[in-house]
Amino acid sequence: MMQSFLRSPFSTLITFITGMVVLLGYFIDVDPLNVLRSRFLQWTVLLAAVALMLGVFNLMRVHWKRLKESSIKAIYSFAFFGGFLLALAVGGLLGVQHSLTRAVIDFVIIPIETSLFVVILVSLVYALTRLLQSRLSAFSFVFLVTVVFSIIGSIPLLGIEIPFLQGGDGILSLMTRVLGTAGVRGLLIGVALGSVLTGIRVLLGLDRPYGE
Amino acid sequence: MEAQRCPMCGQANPPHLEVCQYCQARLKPLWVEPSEGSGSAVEDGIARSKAPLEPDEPLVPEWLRTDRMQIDEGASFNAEELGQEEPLFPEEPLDTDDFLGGMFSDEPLGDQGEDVPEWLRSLREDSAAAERPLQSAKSADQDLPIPFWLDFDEGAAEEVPPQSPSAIEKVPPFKEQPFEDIDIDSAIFPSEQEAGEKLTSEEPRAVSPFETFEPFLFTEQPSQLVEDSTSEPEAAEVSSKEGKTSPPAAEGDWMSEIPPWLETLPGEEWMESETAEKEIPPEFLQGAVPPFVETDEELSEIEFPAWLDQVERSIEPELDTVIESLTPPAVERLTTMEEEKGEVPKERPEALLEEEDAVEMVGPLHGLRGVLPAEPLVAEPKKPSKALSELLLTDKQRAQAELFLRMIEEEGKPQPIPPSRRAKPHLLWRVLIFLVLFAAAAVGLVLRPFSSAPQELSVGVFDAMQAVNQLPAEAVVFLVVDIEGSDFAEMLATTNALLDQMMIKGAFFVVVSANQTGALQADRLLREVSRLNGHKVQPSSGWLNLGYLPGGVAGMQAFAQSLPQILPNTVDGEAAWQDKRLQNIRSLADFPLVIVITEDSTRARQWIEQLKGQVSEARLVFAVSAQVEPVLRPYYEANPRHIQSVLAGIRDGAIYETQSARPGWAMQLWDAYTLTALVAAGLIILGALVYFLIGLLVGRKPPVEGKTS
Repeated sequence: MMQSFLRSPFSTLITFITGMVVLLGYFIDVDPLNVLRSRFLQWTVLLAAVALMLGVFNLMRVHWKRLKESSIKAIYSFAFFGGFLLALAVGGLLGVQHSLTRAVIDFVIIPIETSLFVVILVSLVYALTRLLQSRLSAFSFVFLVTVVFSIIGSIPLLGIEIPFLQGGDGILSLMTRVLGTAGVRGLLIGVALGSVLTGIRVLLGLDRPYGE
Repeated sequence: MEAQRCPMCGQANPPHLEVCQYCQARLKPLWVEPSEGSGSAVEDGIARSKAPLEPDEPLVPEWLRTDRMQIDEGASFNAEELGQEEPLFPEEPLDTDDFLGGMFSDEPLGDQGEDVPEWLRSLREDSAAAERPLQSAKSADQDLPIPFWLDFDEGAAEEVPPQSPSAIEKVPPFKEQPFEDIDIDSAIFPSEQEAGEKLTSEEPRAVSPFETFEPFLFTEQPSQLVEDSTSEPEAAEVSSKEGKTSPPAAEGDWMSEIPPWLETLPGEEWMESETAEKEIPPEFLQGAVPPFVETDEELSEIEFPAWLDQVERSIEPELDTVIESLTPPAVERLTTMEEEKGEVPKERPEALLEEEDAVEMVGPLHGLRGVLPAEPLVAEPKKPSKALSELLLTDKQRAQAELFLRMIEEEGKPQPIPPSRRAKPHLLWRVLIFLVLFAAAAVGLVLRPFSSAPQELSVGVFDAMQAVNQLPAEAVVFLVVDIEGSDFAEMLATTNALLDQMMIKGAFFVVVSANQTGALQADRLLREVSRLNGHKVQPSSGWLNLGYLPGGVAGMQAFAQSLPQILPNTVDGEAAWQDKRLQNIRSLADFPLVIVITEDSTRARQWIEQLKGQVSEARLVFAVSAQVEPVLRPYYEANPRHIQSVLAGIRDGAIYETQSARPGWAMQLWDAYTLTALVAAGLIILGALVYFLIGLLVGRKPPVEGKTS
């Protein structure tokens, strides 16, 4: 029912009208248009917050189902409910500035995420060491050499600076500023063109991500 | 009783059946009593159905033409004239044993019911009692006759007086064969005496059941015979009696004239000799072949007239000449050659001759010779051939079918998963890498300084320092903090000197985050900077946390347009824009400096795009992770710039601290960072060489690019 409604021409018409209002309001400085555009954007923020709440409820429903199945994975669901209720109680009741809330941030969230980041570091080093064994090719060799030079070029070698390698006019700096910037510019241009085409397709109803 | 044969299929059937049990044909035909006018009507129908006599039928004899004309004129025949005609068949006594004889009687048999069974008598009495009131109302002579099917009785049939004309005219049904009891020769061609007797007989005749169906040739033949057998005066008398049946040929009638081409035919002498007796049929009809000749002996017994032999002898040479002219010599030679080779039998086998000359013994074609045996060949049920029940396959097709079956069977079987060619994880090497990196970081933190501080002033750091230095005292700075916990240490080192400088100037921070945990990270970041640099900035006095900004890009756009409407309250629930330090702040353009702190390149790009036009480029500073710097550099190096400055990574933070002469967290991490990065690079180089050599020594061919393992 809902899917058929979202796929109907009515939903496409709504998308077209709102999209055109926001887009024209970006280029045309007219008060009624700006007011309408601001109103639509506020509704967007509100609906996004509601969607976040729905996501939270959906996550709870999934874990609640796992708890009822009493499988091995139920222990993770139990941990989720424990952490969710704790965060809800601490953040909602005590507030962000409470010492207990800060302790949760300082001793739970940040250490866990940092340790995961360290694991990523070890895994990347390990993968680079075995790159030439698993896939021996010119691109692998180029990638490996680029990584090594980037690392070395970002740090001083124990206080020793190699003249043509490091420094503002060195090879590493040129690689970063010229080659790296050129590549990123190309990526950004591609992203911009893709964004424009995607916006046009959504406005014309050719792409309907809201109906999928 | 004997078994009765089906007239259609000839199979024997039990006598009590009325329908053939083989072909469902009716064994005992139902005869409906013909009315008085039916005979003439049928005869008229026959006459009308015949094609009109056309002048291009020169071979029709004169007598036949006369008869056809009579039939054409016979529409005015009535029943009385027909009744006075000479009976076709010799009168036979009515077979009283035949129970059907009484079936067609018109006389009511109610009074003749001595042999009527009890059930029928009671039924009649009941019906009579029921109809008595009605009969009283009717006249006495209007007795309703009992239906013939109810009046059927053998005894009654026996008592039917033979003088009853209605009973006499009833058609006696035949029992077995239609012409079994009829002497066709004598019936059709009676002798002169019999003809005279029949002609003078005034007795009512028994109408033959085939009277209305007999060909007119047979029906009219007796009158012709009579004329033939009598002299001309007698013939004239007879013709005067019959009147319309044999009218004299009118003079000048074109039908009576012989066409010229017919005069040239052989036998014209005969025709000329017979022209004087136009009304007399030719003699050859007296010895005509009977319609049913079963054997050659019967055929040979027939004496053909002499004139026919004469015609045959005269025509035979001419026919031979014509046949020889029609047969090409080449065909004749081929036929002779085939006969010599034995490919064509010179004489047909006797069995085939017998089969062809066999006389049909059953069915409607009974008595005819040379009937094509259609039924055994066409209608006889046959078993389906073996080829239809068994599939004929060639060896190649069979092999392909077997291969296809094997493929299907193999598809259903579980296939063992092939061993992955991926290199097995070396746990020891992983642990060794971790231990080496951890040791390098620990040594860098404990045993510092290992390296000198970065002395080079980058462009980004310089621009950032200028933006901070231009801030007025106690300025309100807008902070966007979109960082995760994993990057907190790096972002703290990057922004430590920047935030420290602003805290020194007494800046007030308004914090917002597009990340779910960004608000908490921002609060912790400010607290850590304050703690590391010795400031006593508290949340309420030093910053205002607006919390999480939902909606992604749309939320950024909405927030950039109208701050108070999107996020009116702080994370503590207080009215954010009621603070006295924010009274003059209604949009992003009102902030003297906007700093975006993020480690996500996508989020950094989105903020640049959504803040453009709302914030002046000179007031926009980005403090990002080192991995985001390449993405922001095009915006920073553009002309004109989209952003004022970029601080990227620990290196820029350390430079900022060095330039501001306030070593802090970045400088504390700098030695550990450089040593760990150096060790990591060494491990990569060493490990790559070792594994490359191992691969060469083991002889395992590394997979070629493009072919995944």
